[in-house]
Amino acid sequence: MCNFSFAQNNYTLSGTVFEKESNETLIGVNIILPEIQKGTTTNNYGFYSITLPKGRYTLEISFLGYKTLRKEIVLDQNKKTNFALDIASEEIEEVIVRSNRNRILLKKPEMSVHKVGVKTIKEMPVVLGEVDIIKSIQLLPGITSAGEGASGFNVRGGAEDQNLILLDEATLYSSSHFFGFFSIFNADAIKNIKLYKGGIPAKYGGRVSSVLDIYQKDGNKKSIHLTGGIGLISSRLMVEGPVQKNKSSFLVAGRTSYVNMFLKASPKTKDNGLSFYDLNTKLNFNINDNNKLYFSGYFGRDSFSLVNLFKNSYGNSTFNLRWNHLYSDQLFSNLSVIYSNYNYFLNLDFIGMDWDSGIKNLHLKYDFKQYHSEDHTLRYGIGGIYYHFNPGEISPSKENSAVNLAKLEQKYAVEPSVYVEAERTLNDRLSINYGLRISSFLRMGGQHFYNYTNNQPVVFNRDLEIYEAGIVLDSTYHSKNKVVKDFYGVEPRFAISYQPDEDRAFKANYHRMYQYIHLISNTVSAAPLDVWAPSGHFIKPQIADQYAFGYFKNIQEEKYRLELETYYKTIQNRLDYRNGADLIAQKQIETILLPGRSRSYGLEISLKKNEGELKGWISYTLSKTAQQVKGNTAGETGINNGVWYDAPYDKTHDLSITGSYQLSKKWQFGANFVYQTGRAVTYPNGRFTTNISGNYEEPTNNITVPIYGNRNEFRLPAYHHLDISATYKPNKNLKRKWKGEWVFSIYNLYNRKNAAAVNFRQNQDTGINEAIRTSIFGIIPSFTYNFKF
Amino acid sequence: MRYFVFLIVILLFSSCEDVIDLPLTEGSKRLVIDANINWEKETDGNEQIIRLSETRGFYEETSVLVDADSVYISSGSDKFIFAKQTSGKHEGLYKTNSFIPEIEREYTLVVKYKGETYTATEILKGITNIKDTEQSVQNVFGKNSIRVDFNYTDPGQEENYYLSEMNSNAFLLNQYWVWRDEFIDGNDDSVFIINEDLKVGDAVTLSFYGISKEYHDYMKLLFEQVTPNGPFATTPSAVKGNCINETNPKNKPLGYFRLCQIDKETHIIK
Repeated sequence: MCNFSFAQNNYTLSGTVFEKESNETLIGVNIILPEIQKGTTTNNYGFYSITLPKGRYTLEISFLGYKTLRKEIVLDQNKKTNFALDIASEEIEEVIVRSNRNRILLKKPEMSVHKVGVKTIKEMPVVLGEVDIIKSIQLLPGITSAGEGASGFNVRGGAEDQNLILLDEATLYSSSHFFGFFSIFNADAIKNIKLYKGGIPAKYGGRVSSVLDIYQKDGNKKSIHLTGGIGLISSRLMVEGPVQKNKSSFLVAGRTSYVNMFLKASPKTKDNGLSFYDLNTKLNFNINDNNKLYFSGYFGRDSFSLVNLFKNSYGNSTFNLRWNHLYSDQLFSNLSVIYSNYNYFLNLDFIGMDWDSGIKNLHLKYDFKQYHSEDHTLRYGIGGIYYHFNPGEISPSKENSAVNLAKLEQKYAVEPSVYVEAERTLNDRLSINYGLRISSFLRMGGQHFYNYTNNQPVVFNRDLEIYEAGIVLDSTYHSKNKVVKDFYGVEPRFAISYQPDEDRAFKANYHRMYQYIHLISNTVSAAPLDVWAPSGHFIKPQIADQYAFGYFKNIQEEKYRLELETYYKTIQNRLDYRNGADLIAQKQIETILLPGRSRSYGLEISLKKNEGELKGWISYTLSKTAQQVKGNTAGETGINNGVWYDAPYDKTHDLSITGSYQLSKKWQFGANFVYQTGRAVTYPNGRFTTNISGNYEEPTNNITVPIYGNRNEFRLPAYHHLDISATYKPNKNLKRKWKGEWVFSIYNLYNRKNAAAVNFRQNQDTGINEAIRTSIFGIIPSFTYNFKF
Repeated sequence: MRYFVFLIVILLFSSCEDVIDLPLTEGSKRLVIDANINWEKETDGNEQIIRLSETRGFYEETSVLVDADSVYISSGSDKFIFAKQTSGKHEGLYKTNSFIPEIEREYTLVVKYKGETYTATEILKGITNIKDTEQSVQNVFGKNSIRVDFNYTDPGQEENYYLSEMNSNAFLLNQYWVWRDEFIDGNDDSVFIINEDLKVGDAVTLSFYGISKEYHDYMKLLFEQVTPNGPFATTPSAVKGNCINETNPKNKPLGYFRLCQIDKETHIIK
């Protein structure tokens, strides 16, 4: 290597940064050497390493919400130094040392990334007082959702299933409770949240739009603590503490809703149920300086039951084991074994039927980070995911049921990948990050594969101009060990930063990503019973290319930060559905799919104020997302006659303003304002009637059918709301161990009836045609009591 | 999967709905062919009616009937001519008194309108019998509702498609379902209704239609458009029937030509 000749003069400083109070490791802490304008950050396990020429240095260790630490260090040999950071209390924050934090951020080629502090999220006003990570990130530029009550989120025009959601590296397949009203993350148990919208590093793959990387806390290594909260919808409790002081710790956090209790209290509703709960667990051991073990688990469930009509339950569960090993003070490694499962269960007792579907995977990966020199780091790794898809199993739930047992064939696949990525500082102004990921997808046997006439699973009926299922010729059974279809993806990643001066940077990035599994959902908002389908003979992987360009500026000594980004993204092989197709219990999923493509572009502006009594940000996004489905052969109508149509989650304008104000030690206030263009929708341009029984003299026997025009041609009314919150900390004695706070909030202060949907139908009582607006959340006041002990 | 609807969602969202005044534009006028040939069991099925109308704006309450040049159904050497009724309860509709229904026989509809010829071809489908009815009580959210089951046996080893129409003095609009026998092939099954408005003495009538796969798909899509489920509704789409404009394919008609055998049963609430 080029720096070989200097090797004997260079020494490595490495170690871990943690929180003083709890010994909890900290992710993304800046370790900066202001004299030479260089620095590094701690990785996802709190580890840092920097290699420098022999000498005397000043170190600045800084992290948002913590007191900046300054330390002189003489580097004349390889050194292991751990740093402990103190939480910044409100009165200290005013005299905070200028940290150069953002200057170093400017240097890094990383852009299109958001790091959101859990503390910030906890202070935001939210629906019914439930702290919600997914709702909070929607206040950032480029991130939206289809609307209230829609599960998941959309990043830069991506669909909900194009987000890779990781909790302690385990994939989650659904991010919401109660059909999208609340997210599944218990904020108390969360340490760090990072969202990638673009320039996605090579170590991530498998989804084409974004990565939401969430890490759970390890647990307090010094003493046992309780954290909890009591709200209107749910309550939470977390216990954390050392197993062996300073060596190992545990964390168990639970959250449960109690709508159930109210239902049970009334004799009328006691047989009904409506609840969600989740459980976060973690256990970790510091075996020695070079070896650490982590076990973590997540279990979440939603359940509904309606007396003897139906029961319904669904949720994610994950379990993983990770082993951190330092091969040297410059080579960090992590080996993970991760199991993840999403399951959906429905019992329809009134017809005597059970339905079960889901997706399971086992993920094995080995990641390395090599801190070559202060200007050069290298990441590389290998991984493999084994998938087991259960598209659905129907079984009779009682003896006299009319339902026959029907198990749709299970599907299997393996997704191996390998990547390498380098980050280099070329000179004072220029740094780059480049990487390559090679992914592949092997669809395995263990099921029957259908063959169709002309190899067409979907055929176009030219007379009626409709799509119909293809004609099955025969089917072939392949054994479970056989690779039936294989795909390979070459995914280059590139990012560059140019810094003309200390406070400004221009950045650009490009990535290509492959997604091999697809969420099959034809509803406007994805629903929990939607199933995942693997790529195969008739379903190709989705391929995204995204280019982004950004301008970043620190204003007034880093008091404000301006970020401007623009992006262009295309996705190939995005699936849409032929009309009237049965998605549920569909054993030949390929017969309902129409492949298309999507493109999106936009401009994102954000202005942040990170310091002072008044903090917050304004973000605005101007964007466009459209899809096109042309059909497979010439003369087909495709969808919308083959013309581009707006995606349902396309929001032309998206403005959010969020702020918090610290009035005194006791009182803090927060406010959010959100304004978005209404969702793209299809409205009828006429009606016709049919009279099935032929009783034409009876007008109420006429069924009025709306005639729908071009897809997504219209817009729902604009979506906006203002929310406020106040946090009161009544602590008189700071030395008291029990710390409590009250959070009062009002969601949708001016009671705007935002339309989640507008539907068209015949009034059941009058038979007259009407436009019906569904609006979900009006004004909602709430309060929560949080405590720490 | 006929009952696989988002009951939960309907329950959750029904309370947050209101009627809004939303202006809509109207597309170009098109011919609507409502040709439902119904042959009730134990009748001769000679009398049949076809309605021809034009599309209208979504909020319009009535249909505008139109005059065709000729309307007939042919099958083999038979030709059944439909004549426009100028008076009586079927005024403005097209009617024949000589139709001959036959299960699994193929029929072709021809409509000549404004110089253009529209055709559609379909097979008449038979239906199994409704065996008997049962009445029970079902608890829905603490309320006791009456449930009526109309029992039938699905013929095994063949694909069957069904349409049910529930009619009662207890509610204004008829209730419809379409389903297939994929998961109940050869089994005893029932068509049921659970309705909190049903009282002792009310009559519930099931009209049970045997239908073709194509008509099943069409009606399934049609009902999805007619009964949307808030944010979990499927993406709205055009409902394209089986009638073709032979003269000018671009000017597509709406509606369907289908032929069904029907079994009917009335249950009086006890």
